Amino acid sequence: MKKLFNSKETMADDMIDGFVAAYPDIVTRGKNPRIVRRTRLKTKEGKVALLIGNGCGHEPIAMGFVGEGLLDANVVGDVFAAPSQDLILEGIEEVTGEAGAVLLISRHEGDVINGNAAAMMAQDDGLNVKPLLMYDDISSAPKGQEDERRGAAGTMFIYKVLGAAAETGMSLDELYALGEDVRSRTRTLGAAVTPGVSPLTGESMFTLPDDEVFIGMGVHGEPGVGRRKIGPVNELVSFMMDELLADREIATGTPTLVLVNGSGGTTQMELLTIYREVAAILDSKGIPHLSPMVGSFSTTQETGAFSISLFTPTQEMLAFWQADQRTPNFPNIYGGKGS
Amino acid sequence: MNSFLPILVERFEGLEAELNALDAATGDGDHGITMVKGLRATIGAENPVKAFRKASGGASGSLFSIVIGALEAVSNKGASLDEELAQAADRIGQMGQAKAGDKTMLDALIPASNAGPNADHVAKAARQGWLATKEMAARRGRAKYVEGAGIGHLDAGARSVTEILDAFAQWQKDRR
Repeated sequence: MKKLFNSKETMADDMIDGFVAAYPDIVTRGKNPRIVRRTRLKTKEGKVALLIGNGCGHEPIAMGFVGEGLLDANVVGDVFAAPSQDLILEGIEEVTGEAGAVLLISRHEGDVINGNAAAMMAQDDGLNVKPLLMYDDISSAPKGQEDERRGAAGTMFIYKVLGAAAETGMSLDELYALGEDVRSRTRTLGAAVTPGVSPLTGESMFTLPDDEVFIGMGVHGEPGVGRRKIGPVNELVSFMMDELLADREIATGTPTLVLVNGSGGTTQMELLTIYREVAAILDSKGIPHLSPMVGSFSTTQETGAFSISLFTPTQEMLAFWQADQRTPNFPNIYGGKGS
Repeated sequence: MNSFLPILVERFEGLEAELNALDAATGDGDHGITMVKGLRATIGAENPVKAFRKASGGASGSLFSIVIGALEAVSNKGASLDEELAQAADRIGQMGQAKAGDKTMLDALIPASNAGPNADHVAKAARQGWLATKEMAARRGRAKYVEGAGIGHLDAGARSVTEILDAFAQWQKDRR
């Protein structure tokens, strides 16, 4: 598989060079070149800092979401590898002021180990940092073991709601509680169609027969947990929606936000078709859906895959979801049906 | 004093592709790359443990840096190998929320730490532990989420522990 880069050793740094050069009024490099932060930080003026560390190769998440109304910083690891605890600590130090910081951690082994270690070191140094674990993928652990699940695209609801809330001056403890509440209201399920290629190894990240889809593939291309024969997309979406709604029931009349995320190799044409089917199912159940997000935001190279996330916000959360933001890659959120 | 670290670099450079392939069966196939990257960074570093952790990144950066720290203590401070490995296994278990039988690096490290102070015995016990991971179902790490939880596949992390301890035993022998 052909890939365009200069060298494996520099691919992450070369990408960050391009990113900060493209959006200099929004993002800049921190003291460590692997820290991408807002050009104008407000966290030394009383705003709680919001940041995340993650391996790269999943763009635009997460550095594309640094900016006003969203993240203060993103600590960028190597391809598909969580940044070291030392690097995350540097990121925390760079943006945390008196009001403290929420360190978002998408629940994957490396991110959890290194994020928790960094938060502990920062607390030892007197910084008020709370690590918030994010998990939403229903295929990764059964109902009742929600805190064993891994983080998937639905974590973007937490990014956005907390990002907007932090901007209003909300305190660290309130933000943390709000984040837990968003998490408890979010569920995600994904399906993979074609493998992506790791830029490190040049190899496909999984194998899949031409006539099969995998339900519940991880964001790094970890092979999924269940296979199905491929058929019309409405059948696949119907199956996935049944699973999502069985995991967390949504009562008729409950306003629901939908995120259809593509993994890089699924086209917008396909994603919009998937959204059509999701919307039709919610309509048939009398569940109002509004302010959706449809596109490729949390990706794994050219993986052909998508996920459906459902989130039932409070009025306050909905307002934060719809609030203006200024970042390189987070989409505008519009009212949509029902608003 | 001669360090064992250059020997580890050499050993893992030779194993890089093999470790990637082992990891690819249940993970994203970069375990060899991250080990080599981390080990190369230790050469000439003032603090090899931190240098490994920073350069390797990921879960394996933090977890394998603990193993390297244990061997540093043995080679530089004359600490006892089995005691250091037992402490390392405890810390890794706490950080990774893992225990024996979860199909992780601990399945080589824990038997190794129970094999007494002799480096040859330690390396042999690690290898046996690694080979036993084939029939285990993963309960930690990315392999947990794979169809069949990786049963039938050998664990890449346990393999790396085995190779580290084997190279360390070889280094001790050559030093005498």
